[in-house]
Amino acid sequence: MNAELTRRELLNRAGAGFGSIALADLLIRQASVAEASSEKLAGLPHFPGRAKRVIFLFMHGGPSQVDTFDYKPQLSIRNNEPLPFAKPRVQFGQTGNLLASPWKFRQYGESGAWVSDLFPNVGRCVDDITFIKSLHGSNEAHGGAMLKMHTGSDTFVRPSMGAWISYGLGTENENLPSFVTMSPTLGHGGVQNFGSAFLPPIHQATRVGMRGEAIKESGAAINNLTNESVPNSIQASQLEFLKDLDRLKRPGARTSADAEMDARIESFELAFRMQTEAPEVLDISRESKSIRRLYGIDEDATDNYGRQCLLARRLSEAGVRFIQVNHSYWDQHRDLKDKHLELATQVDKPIAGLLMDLKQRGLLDDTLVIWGAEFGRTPTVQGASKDGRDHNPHGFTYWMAGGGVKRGFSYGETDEFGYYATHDKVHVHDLHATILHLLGVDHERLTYRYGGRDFRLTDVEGRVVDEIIA
Amino acid sequence: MLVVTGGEGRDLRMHDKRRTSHPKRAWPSGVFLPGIAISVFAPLLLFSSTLFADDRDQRPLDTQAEFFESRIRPVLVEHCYECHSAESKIVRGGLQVDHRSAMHEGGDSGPLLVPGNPDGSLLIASLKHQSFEMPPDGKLADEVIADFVTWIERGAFDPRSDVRHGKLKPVDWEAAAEHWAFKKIANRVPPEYDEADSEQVKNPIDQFVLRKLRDSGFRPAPSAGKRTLIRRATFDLIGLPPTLDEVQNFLNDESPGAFDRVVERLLSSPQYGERWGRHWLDLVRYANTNGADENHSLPNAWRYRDWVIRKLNDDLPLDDFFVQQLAGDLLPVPDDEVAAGDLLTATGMLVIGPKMLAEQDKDKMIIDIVDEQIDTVSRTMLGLTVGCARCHDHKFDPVSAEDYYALAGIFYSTKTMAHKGHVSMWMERPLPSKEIHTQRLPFQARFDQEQAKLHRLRDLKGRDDQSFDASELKQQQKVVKELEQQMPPYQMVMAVEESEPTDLAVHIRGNHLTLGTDLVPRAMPKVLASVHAGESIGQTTSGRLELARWIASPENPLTARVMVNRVWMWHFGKALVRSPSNFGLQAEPPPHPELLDWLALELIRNRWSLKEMHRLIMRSATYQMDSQPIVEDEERDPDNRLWRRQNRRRLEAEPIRDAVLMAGGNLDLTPGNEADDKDSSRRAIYLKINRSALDEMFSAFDYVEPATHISQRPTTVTPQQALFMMNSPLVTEQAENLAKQLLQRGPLSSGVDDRELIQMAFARLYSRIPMESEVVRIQQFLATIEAQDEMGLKPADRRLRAWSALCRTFISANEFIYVE
Repeated sequence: MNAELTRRELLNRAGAGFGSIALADLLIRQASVAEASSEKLAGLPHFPGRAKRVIFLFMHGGPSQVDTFDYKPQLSIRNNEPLPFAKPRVQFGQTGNLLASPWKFRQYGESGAWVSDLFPNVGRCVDDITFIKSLHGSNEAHGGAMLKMHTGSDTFVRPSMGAWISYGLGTENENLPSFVTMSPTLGHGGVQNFGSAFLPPIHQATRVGMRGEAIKESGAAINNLTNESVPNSIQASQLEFLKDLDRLKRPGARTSADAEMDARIESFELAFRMQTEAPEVLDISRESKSIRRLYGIDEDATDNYGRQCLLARRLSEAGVRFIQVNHSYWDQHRDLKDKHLELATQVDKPIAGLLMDLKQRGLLDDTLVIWGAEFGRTPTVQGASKDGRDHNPHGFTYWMAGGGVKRGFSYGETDEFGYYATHDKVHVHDLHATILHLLGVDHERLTYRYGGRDFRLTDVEGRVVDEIIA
Repeated sequence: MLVVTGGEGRDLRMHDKRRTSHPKRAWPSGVFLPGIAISVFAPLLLFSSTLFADDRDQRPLDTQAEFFESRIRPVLVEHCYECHSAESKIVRGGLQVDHRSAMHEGGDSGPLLVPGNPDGSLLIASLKHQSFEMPPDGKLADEVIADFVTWIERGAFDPRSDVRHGKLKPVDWEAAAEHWAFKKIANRVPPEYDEADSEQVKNPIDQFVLRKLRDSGFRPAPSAGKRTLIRRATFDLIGLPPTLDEVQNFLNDESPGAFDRVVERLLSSPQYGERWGRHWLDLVRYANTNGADENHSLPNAWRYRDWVIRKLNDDLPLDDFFVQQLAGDLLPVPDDEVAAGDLLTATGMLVIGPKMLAEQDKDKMIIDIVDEQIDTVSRTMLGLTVGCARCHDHKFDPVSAEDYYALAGIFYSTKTMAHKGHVSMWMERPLPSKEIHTQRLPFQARFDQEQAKLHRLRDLKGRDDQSFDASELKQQQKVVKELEQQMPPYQMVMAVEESEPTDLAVHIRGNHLTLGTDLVPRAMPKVLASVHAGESIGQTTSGRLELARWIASPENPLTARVMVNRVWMWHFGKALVRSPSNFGLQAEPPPHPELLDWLALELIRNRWSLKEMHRLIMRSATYQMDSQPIVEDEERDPDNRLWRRQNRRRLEAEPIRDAVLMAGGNLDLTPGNEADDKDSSRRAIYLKINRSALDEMFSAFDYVEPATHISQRPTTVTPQQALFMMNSPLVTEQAENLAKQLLQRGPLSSGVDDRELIQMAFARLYSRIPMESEVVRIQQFLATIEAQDEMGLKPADRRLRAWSALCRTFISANEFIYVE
C-alpha cells in the first residue's frame, strides 16, 4: 500500500469509512477515531485560506431584498404600476403590480450602503460587510431552493455545503463536531440540507435544537450528550471497565481485523471528553451581562436568536468549522408589514451583536459570516391584501462579513425594481465556489468518488467571485 | 435608463446605468433590437445584452452574429474542429472551440481569448504562429487572421450555446463487450481438491475457495464453535440474537445436521422476511415520507414493505420478485383478489422514491422522476449506474445517452403521478375487493353520474367555454366529494399504471428544454441486448413488462450475478465483487469470478430460490469458518479477499436497536401494518422512516440516506455512536430493565459473589460463558459502583444502580454489536 497515502485518504477511498481496505494502514498508524474526524483531507487547504470557519445565518422562507438591503427608489416612484416587462416564472399565480417598500431606507457608514429601517443595527455594521445583490438561482419553491442552496442540487441527493467543508478541512477541535446546525427546520429538504449523503456520515451536521424550540441557557441541546440519571463518576468507572473487558476478550497481538474495534473503544473516550467539553461551550450563562446585552439576550424579541448567535460565536471560538444558525419563517405572501418587521426585529440586534463581538475578539478576520436565504421576494405585490410578496429566485441579496471579503463593498445589481439579477450575476454555484475559495479550497478539486464518478459541491459549474475578495 | 425585453426570453432583459453614461462604439445606424424596447426615461436607445461584459461590442446582435457566422465559424469548423471539438477522437490540449464557454475558458494552456484585446489573446498568437503554430498544417491567410483580430477587438461575440457537448469519448463497444460482467454467465466446474482437504469441503463453494487459498499458500480457518455459529446464523437470517433456549438446544444436539436444522428453523421464522426484507428495502430506497422538497407522508408505503416481507418469507422466486415490482400491474390478473392486489402492491417500488412535488416545471418533475426510477432499478437489479448517461454518454461504461433515453421512454410511458397540481400527487390504486365493491354498489350508479357531470364541467373549463360557471363546478366537486365519503373506501396502494407509449428524444445535457432531434425508440441498453436481446417493445405498450422479463431472464448476464453477489455480502460482510451496485467497467474484477458464475447459475438452476441460496452458502465450510484473525496471514491478505476466514461484522442500526430492546425483554414481535413512531417497541423495520427527519439513532449508525439506493451500509466509528450507548434513553432504560430482571432471580443484597447472575447476563447478551478473569473484573466493577453512596441511596437501589451500569457497559461493548 502506498505509504504516501494518508489514513484519511484511505478512509475516503474506502468510501465507507472504517471497515475496509484502509484497515491495515489504520493499524500501522495507530489509528485513532479522533484523528479521523479532525484530520484534514490530504493536500487541503489547496492554498492559504482567508477564513478558517463559517457562520451561516440562514433566513428560512426568503426575506425580501427590496425591503432590506437592495434599495429601489423606482418602486416608490412607480408604486402600483404594472411591471413593465415580461412576467417571470414565480411560485404562485398572478404577478401583481409594483409594490413600494413599506420601509424607509437610509445610508450608513463611510461606504454609504443603503439599508432599510428593518435592519438599523446591521446598518451600523455595513463598513464590515460585502453585499452581493445579484444572487440568483432557478427554483422558485422553498424545498427545491433550500436544497439547491445547501447542497448545490435540487434534482439529486447530494452532500450539504457544511458536510463538504467538514470533509475537506476536518474540525479544529477533536472534542467537538466539525459541523453544527442550530434550530434547523425539518421541512423543505429537512436533514438533506445538513446531511452528508454519500460522504462519510461523520460529516453530517450535529443538530442543536430544532425549529421552534427555544435555546436553553445551558445544557444538552445535542442528542444524547448528557445522561441525567448517571453521574459522571459512574461513567468514568464504566469507561475504564469497558476498556478492561475489551482487553480481556481480545488479548494478544493486534491485526488489521482489530483496528475497527480498537477505534470503537477510543470513540468512547472521545465521547466522554465531548460530553465534558461540549456542555461548557454550549453554556452561555457565564457570559458577561454586557455581552448578553450586545446580543439582545433577555429582551423578549431578540432573546432566542441572540442566544443562537452567541452560541455560534462560542462554537466558532472552540473550533467548530461550519455553524449554521437558522431563523424561520420569512415567507410573507401576505402580512409583509407586520411579519417582516417582527422577524427582522428578532434577528437585527443579535446579528449586529455577533459581528461586533467577533470583531472585538479579533475573530472576524478569519471567520466568514454569511447572511442569506433560499431566495428573495418579488418587487410586485401578491394577494388581495396588497401586503405580500411572492417567491423570487431570479435576483436576491446575500451579504458576507469577515473571512477575507472586502469591507464596505457592494457587488452586482438587480434591475431598477429588484426583480432580476442583471449585472455581475452570482449564481448559487458561484456562491459555493467563493465560500470554498475563501476557506482555501478549490471547488473543482474538492471531489468524492461515489457510484462510479467524482462529485463536487459545484457539480460542473461555479465561478469564484474574485471581485469581492479583499 | 433602459429595460429591454428580449424576444428570446428573460435572459436577454437587462439594464445598466453605466452603459448609459459611457456608450462605446455605438453604431449610428442599423438599429435593431430583438423584442420590444421599453424606455423608462428614454432619452437615448442603446444596445446591450447580458452576453457582454462592459467593454465589449455593443453593435446590433444580428450584425455581429452575421460576422461570426460568415467569417469566424466556418474557419473554426474547417481548420480546428478536427482536434478541438466534441467530435474529435482525442481532444488536443484539452481545448474545445465548438461552444462559447470552452472558447473562453480555453484548454490546458489557459484562456484562448481576451475579448477586446487581440494582442493579449492566445488565439491570435497561435494563428500568427507566434506561440503555438495553429493550424499545424500551415498558417491561415492574413485576411482570415485579420478577421479574428477584428472579431476579438469587437468583443468576440459568439452566438453559440454555452452547452458543452456531452460526447467525451465515444463508447468502445468492442472493448465493452469483452468486459467480464457483460459476458454470458459461464458454466464453471468446481475445482478438484486433495483428499487431505476433504474435511474442509462441504459443498462446491468450498472447492472454489480452497483452490485459491491453496494456490496462495493459505490455510482456511477452522470451523467456528457452536455458540459462535448459532449467533452468526441467527443474526444473519433474522437479525436478532439467539435466545437462551435456542443456544442450549443447539449445544445439546450432537447429531449430524444439527446446524442445518438451525438454518431451517430460521428460514421458516416469520422474522426472516423482516431481516432480508430490510436488505431489499435499502436497495429500493423505501421510506414513509416523500422527502425532497415537500415531505408529505406516504401513508400506504407500508403495504409495499409488508409485500416484500411476505414474499421473501414465501420464498417467491427472485425472477418473479423482480418482474412483479416492475410490472405486476401488467401481468394476467389472478382470480384471487389478494393475489391480484399483491401484483399492484409490488409496483409500489416504482412509486416510493422522492419527488419534487412542488416543482412548478412539471415536465422537469416527470423526467426527474423517470431518472430516479432508472437509477434505482438499474443499480438494484443490473448493478449498473445507467443514470450517468442522462446528461452524456457514460464516461466509463458502454451506456450511451441513446440507451438512457430508450429506457427513459419506458418509464415515461408509465404513469407514476396521479396529478400535477401546484403540489403534485403520486399514484395510488385501489386494492381489489369484492366485499367493498358490493358495499359500494348501491351508491355506484349515482356516483358515476355525478362524476361524469364533474368531468363535463372540467371539460368546459378547460375549453374556456362560454357556458362554464365556476360556482357550478365548485358545487359539483362538493357533491362528488360528499358522495365519495359516504361510500366504503377501497384500501389504496402506491402503484403505477400504463400511460401513453411515448418515445423520447435525447435531452442534451440532461435538460428537458434542449432536446435532440430524433426520437429514440424504447429499448434495452445495447451492450447488454447484444448478449440477450429480449422481446422487442411494441407500439401499444410502455415496454415495462418487456424490460422486467429481460432483466429477470436467465440469459441476462448481470441480474443473477448481481443478486448472488449481494447475498454473499449479506452473509460475509463483504461482497465477491466489491462494488455490489456497479458491475461496470470501473468495477474491480472479483478474485473468484468462477465462484460468482457458479453461484449465479445455481440460483437460476434452483428456480431463483433465495432460501436455497442461503442453504447453499450457510452449509459451506467457508461460511462456517472461525473469524479469528491470524497475524501473519492478515499481513499478506489484509482485506481477507481470499476468504481465509469469516469476517467479523458490525451489526447495522436496526439489529442493534432490536437487540437492545430484546436485552431488556421489551421487543414486540407483532408483524406488519402501518409504520410506528420511534418510541415503538416493535422491530426497527416497522418504524416510520421520515426522509426529512431521520431518527438520529439511525443516522448515527450509518443508515444515513433513505432517499437513494443504498448498495451497502457503511461501517463508521463515531463519538455519536458512543454517546448513544452511554446516554440514550433507549439504552439507559433497557439496561435498567435487564438489571431488574436479573436481580429478581438473585439475592437482592450485595455481598454474595453474583457469579450466577453474571453468567446469566453473558448467556443472554453474548450467548457464551464468561471467563474467570472477566468475572473477577466484573465483581470488582460492581463493588466500586455499589460503594459510591454520595447520593444516600438505599442498598437495594445502589445495587440496582451498579447492575444498570454493568448492563449498560455490556451493551456498549464490542461483543454486543459485532458478530464473529
